[in-house]
Amino acid sequence: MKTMLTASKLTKNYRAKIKEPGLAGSIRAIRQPQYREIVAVDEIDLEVERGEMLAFLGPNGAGKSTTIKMLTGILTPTSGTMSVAGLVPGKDQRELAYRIGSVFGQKSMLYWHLPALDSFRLLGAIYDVESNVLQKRLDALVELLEIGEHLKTPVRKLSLGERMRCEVAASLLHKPEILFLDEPTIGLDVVVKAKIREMIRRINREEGVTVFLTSHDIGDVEQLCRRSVIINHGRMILDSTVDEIKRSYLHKKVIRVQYVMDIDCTALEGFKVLQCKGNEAVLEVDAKDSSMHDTMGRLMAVGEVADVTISGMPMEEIISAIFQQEDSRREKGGDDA
Amino acid sequence: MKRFFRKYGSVMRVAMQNSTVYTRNFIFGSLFFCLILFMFLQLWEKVAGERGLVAGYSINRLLWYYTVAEIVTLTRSDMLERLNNDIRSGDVAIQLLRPYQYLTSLFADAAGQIVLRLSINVPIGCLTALVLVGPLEGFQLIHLPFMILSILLGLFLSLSMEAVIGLTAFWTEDNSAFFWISQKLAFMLGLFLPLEMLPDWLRSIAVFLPYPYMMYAPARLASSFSWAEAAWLLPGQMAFGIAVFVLAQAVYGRGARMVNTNGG
Repeated sequence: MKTMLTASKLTKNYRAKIKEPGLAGSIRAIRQPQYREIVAVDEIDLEVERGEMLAFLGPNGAGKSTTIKMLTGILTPTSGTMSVAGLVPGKDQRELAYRIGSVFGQKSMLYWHLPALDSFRLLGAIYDVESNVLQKRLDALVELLEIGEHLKTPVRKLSLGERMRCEVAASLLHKPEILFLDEPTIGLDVVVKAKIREMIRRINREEGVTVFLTSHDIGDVEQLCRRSVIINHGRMILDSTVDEIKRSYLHKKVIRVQYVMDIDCTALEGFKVLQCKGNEAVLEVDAKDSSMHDTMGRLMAVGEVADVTISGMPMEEIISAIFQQEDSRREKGGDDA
Repeated sequence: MKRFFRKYGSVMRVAMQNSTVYTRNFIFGSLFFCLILFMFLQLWEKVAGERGLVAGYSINRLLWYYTVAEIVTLTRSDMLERLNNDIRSGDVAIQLLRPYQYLTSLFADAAGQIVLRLSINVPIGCLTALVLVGPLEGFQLIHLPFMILSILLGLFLSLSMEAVIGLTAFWTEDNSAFFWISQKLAFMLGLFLPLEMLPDWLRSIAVFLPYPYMMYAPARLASSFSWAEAAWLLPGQMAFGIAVFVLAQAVYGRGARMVNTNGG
């Protein structure tokens, strides 16, 4: 079986109580409660291959967590079908629990006051991992995640990065086939983020674990995933490779020019100037509007150039542009209607 | 079955380990226990006066009654707080991802805490009572297994009641009022007032409520054991224990279904 996860027309609607402001509104809400239907996830179709690392992106309230909760069997969908590791979440929940792992960045699986090793042993028992198998597995994970020196330290005394590595180890003890990572690098500094990403890459490469990642950190997406799915307002708006997304937006460039002498910033009129100070300027140009040859010619006419750096748009801005496009398309659609 | 015991036995063991962190709380709890027994003794000695009897209890039996009632009361786990916290924070949804039954794991966790607390509260309570009033009058070793069974059943019933109250967090923002009422009923119907001190009409109602079976039953059997009373108190404890536990499971089932529908 090559496909690890499928979802077809997956939909989740919630009923939210409406309450008018003020005391009268509160009383009315008790006497005659009124509800409105919220479409949290709207007919999402997904397919994830075994061993793939997929980034599942979207702004707050886009429906990412709701989708993960449905795929892990916590939430029952309103309609649609899904399958994870050949099982139906919710229906085959007990069996599925043994086949999936999860790390929720803001929720811990470890006992706060006890060394991580105690929590690992407990989780081993909960997941019915035999003691000798658990020990071997622990040895492998300790080496992979470099947590040997932290095993006997109470979790509350670990740094966030050390704790997160222990959380990842805890989620892998029972050898899951698919790992759901919800914001695994939230709150971590750049060095630790890089380390966690390297660990996830190794887990995927060496153990063949499929990774379903949600993150607000575009670095996670760029460095870990080849494919990303973007959702907004519960609907899937893009399913493409990360490279393809970048390519479609590569016509936008950020140019950093350093001149030999200080320049007059007004001479850069006609460019979108992001920053101009002393002998340095940062500009954003769209290759669709003017060729790079013309642009460079105009920049060289301003003064003697000492150095130039041309880079693509940061991924974060690309994603933000995709969301904005989608929002304005929806608004237009709404106006037309 | 082996898997079941390994799974929930591990939860219980880790809960015991985790509880050892709160040694300072244990020490303060123990001091409170000694103090409260001393206060009860002063109070009831004044009430008993020269007759030395209150509602048929001698001062010796009355203090042993309070010792056992307090052992059950003070041997609390954090079941209520855990449920409130897990349900409100949405952590309960994460727990549903694990291959175990969440409520059973909470009972195993509570059992771990209770074993540890009992191992401290029983010697402290008994030692304090011994120092204050001497050995229990009329104590026979043959009664001991029934006394222990009654204490355990009382603890199980109290725990199940806490579970039912804690699980109401699925529907209510604040369930502290339910706990407050339940605590006061337990206080009035057994902890502070043995049923023998209540008016007849109230006593006849109280026996149909679960509260006397939490503290009164074990304290009564420990302080004034009789086979006739054991014959109705122990089955009563079992019946209420099972009924409230089944109710907790049913309430949890409904709550978990709600999480499945509406999210954590």
